[in-house]
Amino acid sequence: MYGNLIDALPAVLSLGNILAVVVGVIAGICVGALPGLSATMAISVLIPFTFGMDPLVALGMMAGIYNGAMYGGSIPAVLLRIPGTPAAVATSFDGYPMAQQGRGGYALQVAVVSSALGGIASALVLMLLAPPLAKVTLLFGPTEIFWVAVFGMSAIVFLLGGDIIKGLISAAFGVFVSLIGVDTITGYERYTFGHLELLDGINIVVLLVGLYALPPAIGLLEEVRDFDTKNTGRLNTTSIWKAIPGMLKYWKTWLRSSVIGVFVGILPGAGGSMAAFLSYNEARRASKNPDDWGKGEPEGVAASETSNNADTAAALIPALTLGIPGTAVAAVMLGGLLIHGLQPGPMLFRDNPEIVFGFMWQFLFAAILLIFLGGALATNSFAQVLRLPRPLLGAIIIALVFIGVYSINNRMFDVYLMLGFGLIGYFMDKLKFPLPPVVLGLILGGFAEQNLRLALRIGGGDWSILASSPTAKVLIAMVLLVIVSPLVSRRLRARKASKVAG
Amino acid sequence: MNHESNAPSSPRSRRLDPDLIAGIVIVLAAGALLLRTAGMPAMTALLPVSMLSVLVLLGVFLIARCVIRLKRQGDAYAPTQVFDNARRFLGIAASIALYVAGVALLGFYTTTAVMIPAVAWCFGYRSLKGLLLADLIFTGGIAIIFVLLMGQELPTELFLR
Repeated sequence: MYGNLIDALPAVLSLGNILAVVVGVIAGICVGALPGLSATMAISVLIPFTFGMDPLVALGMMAGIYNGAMYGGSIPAVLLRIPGTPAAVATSFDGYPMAQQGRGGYALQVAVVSSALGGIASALVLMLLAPPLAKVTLLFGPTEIFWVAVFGMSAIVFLLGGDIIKGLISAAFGVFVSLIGVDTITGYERYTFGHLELLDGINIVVLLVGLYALPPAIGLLEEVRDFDTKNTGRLNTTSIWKAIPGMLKYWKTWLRSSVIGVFVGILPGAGGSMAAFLSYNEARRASKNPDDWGKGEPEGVAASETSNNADTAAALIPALTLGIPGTAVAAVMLGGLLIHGLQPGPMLFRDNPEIVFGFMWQFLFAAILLIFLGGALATNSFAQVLRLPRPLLGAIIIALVFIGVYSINNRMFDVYLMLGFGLIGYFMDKLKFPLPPVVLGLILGGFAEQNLRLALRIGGGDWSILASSPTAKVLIAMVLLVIVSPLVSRRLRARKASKVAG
Repeated sequence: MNHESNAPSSPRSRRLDPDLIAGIVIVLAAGALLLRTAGMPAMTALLPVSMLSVLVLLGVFLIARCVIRLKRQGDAYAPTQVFDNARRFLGIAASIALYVAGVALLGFYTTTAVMIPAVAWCFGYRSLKGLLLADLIFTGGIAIIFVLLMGQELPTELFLR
């Protein structure tokens, strides 16, 4: 089972693939360091440019960006108290007070070492858990695959938190978009409105770029905000290798936060921010001096940064094995796999082991590279990214987005479509409609429909076939659990709150 | 500045609750698309009918929730604020539309070389040296990558057609 893992290593160690990871990590740190930009946005912009690349090179860049951005988010969180990514909010609690005390450089070193360790733990868990899970899911038939898709969509809508009605609307919209184009079984054109460009359906990259890359670019131009960058000047840091021995006392926090991050990462719907908050709270509870937390305690930075990076590769476990991305970044990465002709799910492990296992190695290398690329000199350089003028960045991202989408098929139609999705994404974001269910709906909608129809054909049109096998029954129970549990816990919380108030 | 967003409790802003507008748009759009399923074969229509019906239903829920909230909370009800600065948003939307139209009419490199400094200038970055340098690096870099290295065509310049 793990033989393929070793076989994939030589290809990953080629110069081109290593360079891709290095470039990805550096780009990811820069993007993460810029408030308003995220790994999801960076990967969305990158995906169209990777069409002509070898799949491993493209995936290596994505792995690098994901890991780099999760650390990069800590730079403005520490120096400006503005988290570069949502997952870095908890990092600012102690990181910013440290910067005010003149220990910003040390805070960033703790952040980079903790991020690397969290990422390494996450990649190892991905390597250990994904292959056996994929083997189990290979036994699934169309009925089970249909329920897995329903489970994935329910999980992201109901476990994501927030407004369930809006989550469901987002998911239904995503599924609807997946239905556009020719029905492959009957040949009937659905919602193409006479446009030949829509016969093959909507390219996932067009949707991803529109939803995830255009709104942040608009945001950069929209906000009139000047950052106070006085803390970003030369940071007083010693060599990271001299600083590491002094950090070894945080080993318990690293271990605890890695476990929390990995666990949260595997759960569909949860993400890096939840992992960081949970981990920060647990570390504070376990601390001997909880009163110092929030005033510049390096262990707080370690807790939050370890877990938000431990979430990264773990989030890909359900994505790679079942085709269910648990987070927005994982969904975007699935989009990246799809455009290279790689269908996420158990077949990926059987048909393209060198790529899927190579991807896992790249996650591990990206995490290790963080320590090398986040040294004193680099930390100082990355901090300067914050000085980049936001209007200029916004204009450049719009041009990049245009190039990326146009190059998919060399046609303006895709650009117009992307602009439409960008506008929808902008308003959805402002009205707090979650975006990940749209992407998941698009990925899983067609997949679910195909398997539902296949199952019904096998069952001669009898709908009871959908609950005929024990596995299907278990999956139905899981779907019900995912739907009911947040509603029950919300009701219990409300009752508890009214009791306290009463 | 968006006047409505500054006065959330005014009767006018209550009527313009964005969630309410979103609900109405969803019901109307999903309803219209639902009508187009009439001619589809049964199995082809299965998922579109289910999803669009669900969307109509959820849109109605969204509208009903807004109305109930408004009734319950009265003047204290503050709808979601959409724009931080509506004029700025309109300016950005117009810039993007102009850029796309410019690329289609004039060609990619010409439009990009003009658009990047112009947009950055209009939205607050006023260093001429920085603008020209960034423009040269970005547009030149893209030309080197796409024309020389990748051989990938972007919309051709008007003077080269």
